[in-house]
Amino acid sequence: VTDGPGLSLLDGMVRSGMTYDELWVGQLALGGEVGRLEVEAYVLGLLVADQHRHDLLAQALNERFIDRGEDHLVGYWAAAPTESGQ
Amino acid sequence: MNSHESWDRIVAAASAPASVADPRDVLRAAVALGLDLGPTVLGCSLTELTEAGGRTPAFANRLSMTLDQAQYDAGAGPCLSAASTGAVQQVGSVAEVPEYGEFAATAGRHGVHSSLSIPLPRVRRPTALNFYASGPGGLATDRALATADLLARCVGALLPGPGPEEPVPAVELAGARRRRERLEQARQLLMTSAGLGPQEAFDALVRRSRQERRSLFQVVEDLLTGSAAGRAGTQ
Repeated sequence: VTDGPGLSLLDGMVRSGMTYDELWVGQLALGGEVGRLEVEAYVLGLLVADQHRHDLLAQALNERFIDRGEDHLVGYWAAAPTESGQ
Repeated sequence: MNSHESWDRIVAAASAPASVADPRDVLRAAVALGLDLGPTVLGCSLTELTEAGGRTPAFANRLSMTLDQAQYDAGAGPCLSAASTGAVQQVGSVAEVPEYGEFAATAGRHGVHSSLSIPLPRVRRPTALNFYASGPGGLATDRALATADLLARCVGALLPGPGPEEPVPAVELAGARRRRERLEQARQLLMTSAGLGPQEAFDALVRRSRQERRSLFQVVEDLLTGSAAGRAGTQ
């Protein structure tokens, strides 16, 4: 899963309306091991997620979009993992 | 240490505060990191209310201490208000708040015109994390506010108190663990049947979820229930 286009984690978070607790539980269900505070830091771009963590968070957000009848809107891993655009 | 490394250290400490050997050192790192909130941010500090009044257990620079002290001396200011009321104090222009007059005068002399003070949840003493800026722009964006809020909760986790509440109901965690186990079973099945590695197996499930615009967990259930549709296209 290496194509990049799509919403960033932060934009996906805003658009999905998910809470950080919900996202944390979502990545847990997908096999993630990321802590509650870490989830928030990755989404805000304060920590840099590796491919696996990024794709877990992206999938957790996309599960919410799919539940609402939308597509996978959040982009999966690309070689530009900073979420803040900085 | 760059910003990401500092965040890594602080988030790790806040996630396991009992394992932190020197919390004060992490607090100092946290308020130093507060200066990265935006280009206009000039100071960051921690205000704690005690029986004797306000005190500053950690500050990023001398300016931060000066601004805190001005509020303690005057008995009024956003840091004291945030700590005492438990409400966020976001002041776009300190000069326009009459009750903060003495603080505003000191702040103005140092080029500080706006502030953000965030109360820390679930700490023993009323405490606030303060940011001081030359203008409101750096403190007013959603991302800056979210970052400041996260930093405040990390700092709060390092201070004496009952600690953060259990964030998620047990029933939701149990549901997540059930889905996780099913996903792991599907992944093992793919690894065995198709010779994929763990990441490749996960990617295959995600890929199929995307192709069919379905939940990954629906794909997992198809695979585990052995339907032809479930096995096709996931390898």
